[in-house]
Formats: sequence, structure tokens, C-alpha cells
Amino acid sequence: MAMNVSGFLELQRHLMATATAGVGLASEDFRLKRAIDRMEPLAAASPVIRRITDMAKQITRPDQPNRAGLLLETLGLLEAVLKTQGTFSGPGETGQLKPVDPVFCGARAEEGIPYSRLAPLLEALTGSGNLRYATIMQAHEETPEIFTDYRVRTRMVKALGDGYGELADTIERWLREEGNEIAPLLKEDFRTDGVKGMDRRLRILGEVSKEKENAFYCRVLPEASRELRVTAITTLRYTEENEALLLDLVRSEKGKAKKAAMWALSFLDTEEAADFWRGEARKHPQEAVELLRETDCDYASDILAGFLRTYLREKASGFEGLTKEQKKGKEETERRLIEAVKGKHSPAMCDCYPELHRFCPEDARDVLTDSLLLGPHPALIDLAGRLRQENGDDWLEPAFLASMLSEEPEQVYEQFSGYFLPGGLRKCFLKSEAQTDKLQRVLERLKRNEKDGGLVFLFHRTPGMAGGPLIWHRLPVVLDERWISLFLRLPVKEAKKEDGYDRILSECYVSGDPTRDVLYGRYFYNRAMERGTRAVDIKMLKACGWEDFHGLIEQVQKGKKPLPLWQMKQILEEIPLSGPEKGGELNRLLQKQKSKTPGELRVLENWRDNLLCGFTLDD
Amino acid sequence: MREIGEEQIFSWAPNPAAVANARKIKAKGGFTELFRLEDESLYWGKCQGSGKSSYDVSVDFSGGAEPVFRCSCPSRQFPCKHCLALLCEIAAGAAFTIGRIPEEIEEKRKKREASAVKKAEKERRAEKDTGGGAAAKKKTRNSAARKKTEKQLEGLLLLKQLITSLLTNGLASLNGVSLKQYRELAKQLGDYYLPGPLVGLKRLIRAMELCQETGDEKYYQEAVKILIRLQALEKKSTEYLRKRQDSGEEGWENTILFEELGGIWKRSQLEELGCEKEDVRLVQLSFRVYYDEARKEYVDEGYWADVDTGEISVTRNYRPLRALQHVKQEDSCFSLVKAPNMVYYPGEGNRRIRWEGESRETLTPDVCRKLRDRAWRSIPEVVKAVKNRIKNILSEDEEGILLAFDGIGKIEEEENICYFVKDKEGNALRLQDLPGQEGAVEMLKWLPDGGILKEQVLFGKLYYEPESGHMCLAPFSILTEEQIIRLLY
Repeated sequence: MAMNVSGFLELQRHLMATATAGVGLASEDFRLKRAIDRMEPLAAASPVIRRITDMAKQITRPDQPNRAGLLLETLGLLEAVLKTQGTFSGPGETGQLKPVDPVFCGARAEEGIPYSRLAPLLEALTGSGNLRYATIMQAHEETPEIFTDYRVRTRMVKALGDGYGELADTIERWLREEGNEIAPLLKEDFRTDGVKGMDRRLRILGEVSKEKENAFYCRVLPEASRELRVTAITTLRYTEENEALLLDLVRSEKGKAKKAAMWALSFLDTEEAADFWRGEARKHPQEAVELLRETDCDYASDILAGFLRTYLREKASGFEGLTKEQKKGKEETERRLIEAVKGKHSPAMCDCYPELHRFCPEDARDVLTDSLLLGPHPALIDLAGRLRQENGDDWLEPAFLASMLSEEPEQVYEQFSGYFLPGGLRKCFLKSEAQTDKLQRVLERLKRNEKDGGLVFLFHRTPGMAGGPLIWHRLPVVLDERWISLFLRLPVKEAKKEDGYDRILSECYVSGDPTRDVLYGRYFYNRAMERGTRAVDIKMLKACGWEDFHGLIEQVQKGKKPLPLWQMKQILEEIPLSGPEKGGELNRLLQKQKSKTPGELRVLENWRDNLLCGFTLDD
Repeated sequence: MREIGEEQIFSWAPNPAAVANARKIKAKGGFTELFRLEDESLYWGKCQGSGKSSYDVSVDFSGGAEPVFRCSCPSRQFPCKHCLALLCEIAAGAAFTIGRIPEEIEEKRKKREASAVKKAEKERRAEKDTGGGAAAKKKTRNSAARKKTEKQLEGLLLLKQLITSLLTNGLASLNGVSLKQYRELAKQLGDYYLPGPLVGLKRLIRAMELCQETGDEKYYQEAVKILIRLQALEKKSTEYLRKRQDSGEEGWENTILFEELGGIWKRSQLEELGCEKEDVRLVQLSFRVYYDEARKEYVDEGYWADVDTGEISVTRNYRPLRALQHVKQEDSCFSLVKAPNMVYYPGEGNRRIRWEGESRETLTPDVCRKLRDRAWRSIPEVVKAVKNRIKNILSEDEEGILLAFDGIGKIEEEENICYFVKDKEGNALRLQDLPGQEGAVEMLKWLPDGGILKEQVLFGKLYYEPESGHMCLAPFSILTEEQIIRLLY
């Protein structure tokens, strides 16, 4: 059974106070004396306590020459006794312990992450100071797997509140790509009192959990600080259950919070919401255009279609009677309207396209292309095909995109590859090059997805009312293999939009096909020789196992514009030649070099000398 | 093919960046030729550098556990990235052609062997040498040791006077001026061969500075704790040194006082004292790096369990600020370490250990199970044992232990959640982070597998928490039947 140590603690407290005040005052300290007296009855029970009591008494005696030593000794002895009395809970004393159910947050306990890798990353995520962002980015690039470790993931959530916005943005972007599993981590220790980063947590939670966490959003809302309240309101958009609440908020809130409620309401496909917006569109059309930009509800689409028709009618009349200022205002309205109708697909909106094309042909094509990327709705896919059928190749770009998003890869190739054939179909078309450019523009959007290695269309939309960082969306797509062979066979001189082809080919490259590798190698080698060596050529030549890199440095400055030094450096570092070989080629290049400034020439000469001596560029 | 793990490569590398560069060389296909001897004692190759000719790179394992790295590159780093890249090639199981030992390496091997023989011979002769020279040297040594002891005793007296003066006036009387005077006095202790107490004084002055800067009274308590320790050290050391002086003894006994006074144990001294162990198998349980403001140095601290005895020991690698570039930082270790010859420092509880030359093997479930068997099973027993050691003023305030637990549970008290670890009999210890150290308790609930919190073994540091009067356990890792899950590093 544990001893009652209150007397010891009291004595310890007073002795500590004596140390602070000085032992000289101990003899006058009646509280200390009282604490010693309280120990007296216990002293009989144990020799140690007797010793403590006796020593404490000595401290209070003015004639004791070694009071300082005695004070520390007594304190030391007291501490030792207290340590021996340290307690733990016996069976049943803690009551019923609740089990700690580990909260699964999609993380793992990664084995063997060395301190040298983990500690700098955790420090960068939770600390302050320079270079943290670089540390995190480097770790993400070199060892992405450690970001799924539970120790890192918990700190990532903390980093959402980092004062360095770019860092917090990046972490938000990464966490948004995780699934609903991270929800518990985002909700843990959630604060509603304006602590930094909570809005980001709530936004991510909305993205990954949507309506599943509606109860949490509703719980946060009444307690949320002013800044957090706006984000909390935007998270109510995921379920129609919030219709009444949002309508109440529209009435009761002011300023940004009111706008947030209206914006969230625009995502609910209900009669009440539609009625509200129809009324609002009549009263405040400009606000409606702004707030209906991101929803894809049909009623919103119809409202905007109505606005668009009215606007186009006015445009048809040439804005008669308007002043210069007012006309400028109309241009702004057009810009906003064009932005808002992207992604809308109601029949009324689809019917607007021919008219839009009549007055703004470029915008019409771009709107349809962007709409398809925002969400390849069947109505938009049909529309793109129909418009091309009815109006010809002016609609080639959206039609090609729609075909890629909805048809078999083989069919797409057979329908559209003819536009690329040199001297073939391409020349049959009146505006062949322009048409090819349009198709190429679609293909240039292709990117290799880091996660699964597949091809995707990459696009983004400016963050709206919900705020947050710019998020890149990915639409998976499968490309017919014959496209690559087609591009690889294109004579280099014929390919006017050469950089575009280079990009498409490098994005579509997959290793492991020796025959294809030879073609790739030849293509990029010839491209380098033709238009001047670029870093992409070296990267691709290395990837496909090309062996002859001689002469490529000499070709670096072949293009019209001189290559910036950083790109030169990149090429010199990447090209697999020995230092002296690189130096020799750089020397020959320098002899021909005329367009560089003296400063740049000095740098190049320094590099040349370093390379010729067998050093690295920066030695 | 020789088995080399990534962790082993990190342990040989001068810094993590060198390994990253080595990986790049490997990824680029930097090696144009790769050879090895049939007995796998030597690996070599030609690596394309930025220069015209390739570098000759080799790793020679003939000299024992620590390989000999050789490279013709001009890098000052040792081992250079090319040698590490060669290790990466070995680790990845690259195809090495079996070849004949290159002439220059054979020569270097012979030279090394000859030099080892010469060294051994020299040592043997020195041992045998009982002639006049050795006796004279011994006499000089004795005289120097006596002088040092006298000086130390003087210093300890000065320390005692300083403590007395401090407490007579009271800690609260210290102000900017008097603190400056104490700093000057503290410096004087450096002249008395007492670096240990000097560090203690520096800690005391820092605590008082913090008290003045922040006005937080907890620093007074910290200062008093430092004073208690200093006084105990002064008293025990004075007694000990006087005894030695009187008896004319030479050399040091198995006591912690030597290190507490600031002495640095040499490996040979520890061996002389018999503080050595052969063929030890160790597993690291936790690792951290911290900065000691008073000593102005970084400390890499690892807690290790002896697989065969279950004893928990600690390694400390001191990296003074002024020599940071020259002392390599240690890293966490996740393998089974086999140390052919280990020495341990005097003391109780988690004794400090060190070894030279090691081999590493993958940690197997069998080793984990053996370690689990060595864990304490009863909370009352482990608490009693630890209390008996930490009550000594000069001992550490906490002790690392392995505890087999039945479960980890929690109690929700108002806004706080307290975690407890329970043994089979239902005794419970509060889980609480050590003050001033990075916390791990909150990581428990994020562990990916619920099974980890039931019927496992916990490694933590047991300590007395004065506010509550409880013995608390700061958790650091959980030992399952298959692996060690670290809550921190």
C-alpha cells in the first residue's frame, strides 16, 4: 500500500523555497518549521524519515555552518524517498479502461525508414524556417512511399496550418488525392476557433468524403469562427438534406457567408433550389453568373443559357446606343458568361452553341472542349459529334476530344489519323495545317499519370467559392498504338508544330519495345540535328537506349533563339559523354558562338575548361 | 553473392546525400565493368565519372566486418559515392564477372597485412617490456595522476564553496551581474580537470537565465535539481579521490564517477576493468538525436536490447558543434547487429555500450520472439527494480525497459485522454511522454493495426513523475512477433 506522501511534498516545497530565498532566512521560516513538525510523527516509523527530519531541523538552526550542504542533501534524500513511493495502479484501480481502437487513416507503419530520412521530413512538416519546402518536395520525389507512413501522415495534417501558404497548398493537394480513409485524421483535434489550417482540413474532408461526413459539417457550422464558417457552409453542398438549412443561411447570413450559402445551394438539384435561383437570376443576374459557374445542375444551365441568348441578341445588334464604357462592361460580361457556361449541358445550353459559334467561333469551340474535359457528359459528346457533322471541321477539336473520351481507340484512330498523314489526306483539306493543329492541341493535353502509368488528359479549373489550391484533374484515356507509329514516321521537316509532337511522343513513351526504341531514338536524334539539341532529346535518347551522343552538344545553338544557360547546363550534365568529350564539343560550339553576352561566354568557357580538365561543371 | 542491405550502406556512408548520389550513379548505369573474386572478399569495377578516364573502384572485405574502400576519384568524402554505388550494385544483386585480383589491390592487401603484423608485434613487445623505460614511464604517469587528483580535489572544493555561496544568498538573488560572475567561476573549473561539473554549472546558469528571461518558476526547481546533483557529485567524488590519494591507487575502478567528472573512457581501460562482452547480438529499439546546449554538442542516442540477455543498453555518439564536420552522424538501425566485441561503461540500469566492427542481418521473427521472452511480465516487479536504481541521485532519471502487456487502454478525463498499459494481473502504468522530449503517446491511436495494442511488448522509458507522484512509462516502440514498430524513430 502506498504511503501518504503529502508531508514529504510539503517539506520538499518549503525546502525548495528556502533554496530560492537563501538558507540565511531558513531560521525565520515558520512554514518550513511547521512542515518539519508535521514530519515528526512519521520519523518514528523509519530511520530515513528520522534522518530527513533531523537534517531539516539543522537547516533552520542559525549556528549550523553547513546549512547549504544540508539543504541539498535533505532535498536529495526527499527526492529519493518520493521516487521509491512512485505509484502505479493496482488491479481494478484505474476502473474500466476503454480500449484504444486505432483509427485507420489509410496509413501504414513503414518499416526501416532511417532517422536521416524521416527526421528532416517531420521537422520540415512541423517546424519553421527556410528550405523546408525543398526538403519536403525532395522527399516526395525520391521516396514517395514514406508519405504513407502513419508518423508522416499525421504531421502532414498538422502542416495544413503552416504559415507558408505554398507548403500548405501542396500538402492539401496531396491529401485530396487520398480516399475517405484519411477522414478520421482530418477530424482529429479539429478546432472551430479560427486555428490556422482548419479550413483546409474541412475542404479536404469535403473532397474525400463528400456527403458521408455531413453530420460533421453540420456540427462544425454553429461553432465555426468567421473565416471557417464560409468553408463550413460550402461543405453543405454535398447532400440535398441540407436544402432547408442552406435556404435559412441564405436568408440569415451576410457577405461572404451568404454567397457561400447561395453557391452551395446551386449544387442541390431540387425544386426549391431551382426556384430560388430562378428568382435570384431575375434580381441579381451578375451575381448569378458568378455563383452558378461551378454547378452542373440543369436549372443553372438553363438560367445561364437564357443569359447567353439575351447577350448574343444584344451582341447581334452591335450594342446599339451604348457608350464606350458600357461596351467595355459588356465585354467583361461576355468573359464571365463564357467562363460560367463551361461544363453546362442542359438541352437549352446545347442549343446555344450554333448561335455562340456565329458570334464567337473561337470561344464556342473552346467552351465545348473545356466542357468535355470538365465532365464528358453524354449530351456534350453527342453535341460535339453533331456540330461537326452539321458544320464541318470548325468543330474538329471538340469532336476529336469527344471521340477519344467515348469511342474505342481504334475507331478514333481510323476517323482522325488521316489529318496527320503528310502528303495524304492532310493536303486534301483546305485548311489542313490549321485542322492538324486543332487535333494536335488535343493530343498535347495528354500526360503520363504518375500513379498508374496510364495516359490522362490533365486540366484544371480556377478554385471558386470553396477556395484552396489549384487542383489538376485527370481524365483517363487510351490511345491507339498506331498514333505513335504515325508520329514517329512523320518526316521531321513536315512537322511544323514540332515541339508539340516531341511532347506527345515523350509523354506516350513506354519502355520495353526494342523496335519502337530504335524508331524513337532515330526520331529524337534527327530532331536534335534538325532544330538544335534540347534536354528532352537527351532524356528520350537515354530512355530508349541510344548510343551515339556525339555531335549533339555542337547542335545546341542551332535554333533561332539562343538557348538559356540553365538549359545548356541541363544538357551538359545529362548527356552521357566523358568530360573531355563534352569539353571538346563545347569548345567547337564556342568557336561558332556569336550571340552570347560576354558574361554568358565566360560561364561557358569556365564550363569548357572544367570539363576538359575532368572536373564537373561547378567545380 | 554477398548480402548487403540498404541500412548497412547508410551506416558506412559519410552522409545520406552520398548514398543518394550513389543511387544516381547506379541508376545511370555508371559502372562499365563489374568484377568480384570467387570468394567474394573483393568487388571492383570501373565507374564513369565526369573525367576522361573511368575511376577504379573497389570494396575489399578481406579485413573483417569493416570493408576497405578504394577509389581513384579525387573526392575528399570517404567512402566516396563511387564506392557506395558499387555497394548498391552488390546490394541489388548485379551481375559481377569473376576475375583475378588486380595487381595493385593485391599489393595493398599485402601492405595492410604486414602493417597489422607489425602493429601486433609492437603491442606484444610493449606488453612484455618490463624494463627501466616502462618503469620510468609508469612513474611519470603516477606522478601526473597524483597531480591531477590534487588539482581535481581543489576544484571540487571550489565547487562546494560556489554552491554554498549560491544557496546562502538564495537563487532569487542571482541577477545579470552575478550570473556573469558565476559564468567566470564556472570557466575556472576547466582548469581543474573537471569538465563534468563544469557542464553541470553551465546547465545551472542556463536554468537561471531562463528563469530571468521567462519569469517561470519551474526553472528554479530545475536549478535546485541540478544543484542537488552537483552537490552529490562533489561529495562522492571528493570522498573517492581522497581515498585513492591516500591509498596511492592508480587507474580507475568500475565507477560512474570517472565519467561524471568528465573523464572519457578509453576502450582499453574498459577492457582492463573487464567491462567487455563477446559475440553480442543487439537490436535497436529506438533512436533519437538531440542537442545538448550546455555541452554544445549533438548526441545520437540509441537504445538497444541484447537478444540473449534482454539487457537494455544505450549508445551515445557525441558530436561537438565545433567538430560537426568531422564526426559522422549515426542513424537508426533496423537490423540484427552482431558485435564480436562490445564494451560497456560502468553504471547501472541502461549501461552505455560501444563496439567496433559489426555485421548486420535481417531481423527475423525468431529474434523478435526471443526478445519478447526477455521482457518484464509484471508491472510491480519492473517498477520496483527501476525505482531502486533511479532513486540514486547520480543515476539517470529514467530507464528503458521492455514490458509485456495485456493491453493498452484509455481513460477520458474531462478534456484529457490518459493512456495506460496493463499487465496480465491487471496492474496499470500511465503512458506519458517524457517532459522536454518529442512525444509518442499520441501516435498510439494512429497505429495502422489494432492488434498491435494487445498482448505485445512495449519498449519505453520508465520514470517518476513528481507532479502526480506516479511512475509513468514513455512509449517508444512496440515489439510484435514479427517486427518492431517505432512510434518515433
